[in-house]
Amino acid sequence: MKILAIDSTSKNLSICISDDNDILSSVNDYRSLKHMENIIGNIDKAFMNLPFGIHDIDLFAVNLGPGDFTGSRIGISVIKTFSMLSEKDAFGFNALDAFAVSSLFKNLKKIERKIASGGRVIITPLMDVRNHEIYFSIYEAVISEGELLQNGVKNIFKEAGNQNVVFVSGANNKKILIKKLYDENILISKNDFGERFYQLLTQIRKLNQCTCSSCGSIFSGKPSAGGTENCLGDTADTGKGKTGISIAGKTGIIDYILTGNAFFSYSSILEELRERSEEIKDIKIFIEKSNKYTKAEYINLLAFFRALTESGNKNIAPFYVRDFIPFGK
Amino acid sequence: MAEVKEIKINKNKNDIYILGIETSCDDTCASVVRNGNDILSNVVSSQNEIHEKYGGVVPEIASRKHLEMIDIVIKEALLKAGIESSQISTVSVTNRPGLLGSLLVGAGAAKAFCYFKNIPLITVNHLKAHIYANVLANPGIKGRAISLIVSGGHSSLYIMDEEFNIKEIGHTVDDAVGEAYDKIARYLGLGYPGGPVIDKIAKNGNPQFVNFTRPMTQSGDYNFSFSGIKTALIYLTKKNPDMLKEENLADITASFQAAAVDVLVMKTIKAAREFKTDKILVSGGVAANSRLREQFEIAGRENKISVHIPPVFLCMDNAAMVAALGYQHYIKKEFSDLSADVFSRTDF
Repeated sequence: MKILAIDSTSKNLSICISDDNDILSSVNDYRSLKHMENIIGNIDKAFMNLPFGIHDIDLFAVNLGPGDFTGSRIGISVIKTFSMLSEKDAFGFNALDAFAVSSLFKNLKKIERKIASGGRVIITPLMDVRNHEIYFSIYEAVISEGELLQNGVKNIFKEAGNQNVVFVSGANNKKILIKKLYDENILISKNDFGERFYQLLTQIRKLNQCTCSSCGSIFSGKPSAGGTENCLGDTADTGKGKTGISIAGKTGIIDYILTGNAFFSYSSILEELRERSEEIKDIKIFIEKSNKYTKAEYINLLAFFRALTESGNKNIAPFYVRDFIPFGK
Repeated sequence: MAEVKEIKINKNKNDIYILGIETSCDDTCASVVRNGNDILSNVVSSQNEIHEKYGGVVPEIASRKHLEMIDIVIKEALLKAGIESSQISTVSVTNRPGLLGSLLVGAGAAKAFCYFKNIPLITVNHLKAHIYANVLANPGIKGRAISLIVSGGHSSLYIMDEEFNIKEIGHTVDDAVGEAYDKIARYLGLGYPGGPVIDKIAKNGNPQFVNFTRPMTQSGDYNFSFSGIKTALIYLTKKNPDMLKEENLADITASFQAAAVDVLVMKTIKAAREFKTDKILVSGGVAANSRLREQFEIAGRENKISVHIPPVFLCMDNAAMVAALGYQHYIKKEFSDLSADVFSRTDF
């Protein structure tokens, strides 16, 4: 299955073409925020050395944001038109999902070692939305069961699918499951750890958990009564330094990977950590600063695994955030 | 940017089908026009209901709604025209002026369409398309003319030569006339958009009930001002709350409308006289207003000037005028690169 993905939500105008989960061609253009001018040229560039063209694409995918106001709209508009003309499906993904998947792959070996020795790994993408606010999601990386590994990708996804878990695979064929920790369906009902985690999470000031299905997150739960208007993403006020890390301390999570572009929040997290040093001395924190911009190749991977169980929703719209300011500089 | 594949022009078929896309403000529009004058489909998805509760267009919401509708509207336009997407010779899209977030959606879709079908792209000026709506409605129009564009975003006068070269000679110094209508409708609690509502209520009113000043009629230039009439109405009704009673609404709105229309007609006729032309082209959303149409007809007859106003569906934002103007560019082979940008403001 040939997949074309566009990520124009940051300064990086990223186009990627994959065949299933093999990345065939990837164009990343960090030059400017002139995505409207460059998008078609860069798509053409991505196809340049491939034996097939835009008409042979089987699935389209796009990063819906949160991100740059104009950039995200350009990518979505182009993908929707391709999807309409080719009569092929299109998927949209949340930028935080893309951040999480990217740091999963960058730290794959480290994560695997940790989990194999009985630890847990939490991945938290943080996005700087200014006004002392960040958007974040919290994911746990989970290695799938040994016997499932041998049964191949499709079976694993089928098993996991009912639990709102997504399966992601890297180029080196290592297989890992990511699941959203605060998903009510899985964790509150089935898992004591999850319940405590969720209770702590709700105590973060001004936290708005997105529960609507229309925001495009692969991890979003049931639609809320208010529909899209309640879909504000996962936001937390970092004005007083209260962040997800406090939860990690109380629940004894061993490793914590912070990713995304909210560099200013990292320092406040570390400060808080120092204050709590006794309480959370076992926690190791990895801060990934290389992840300033998202890349389309992670959208390709998300699309590939999602397409195994679902057909695309063409009526995709940008992820709704309040007055989101472009973060590219 | 990278070079885009060589553009093919469909020369084999006699008929030229142009897909027009227009998303400059709050209406998502697509249309298929054959040979520049035959409107096969004209699809408009209005967002009025969405913006009604805010009393005006919210750019962020407008952009989101365009994105939700754009592929559906294009598909519908092709379907209604009864043609396949492969029969389209070129896509003509509005890329200036307008709300950036809205323009991006239409331009992005148009570029993707052209790239996918390997056809050339044409970018057109929204205001020029509005003026061209007159030619689309009345293909006989030729020669030098004064053109008035009246809408929620513009109230401007232009002089146009035989070659369709356009130069601005005057514009509003504050509110556009449509904007004044919206603001007054919001103040009187009549809803949004204000134009059609006030037009309807004012039909039964006495236009001489209040004699509002006609602003800028003695200014010596071709500029307009509408914010003053709006303020006068608001202060007058605040001083005399009785005027806000239901039975006075028709009279007060008719008086406002009379003042606004008088200024527009007066200055347009003056421009036609001073530029020595016997042709006036009126276009834009406010050109749908019944009093404006009526007064222009009377003034045209009195001054022996032919006044052209397109039918109402071509006055409002639509993609048929964009496609039709695109045909003029098509025959002159004036194509845009697929790296074309969008602009919120522009000269001709």
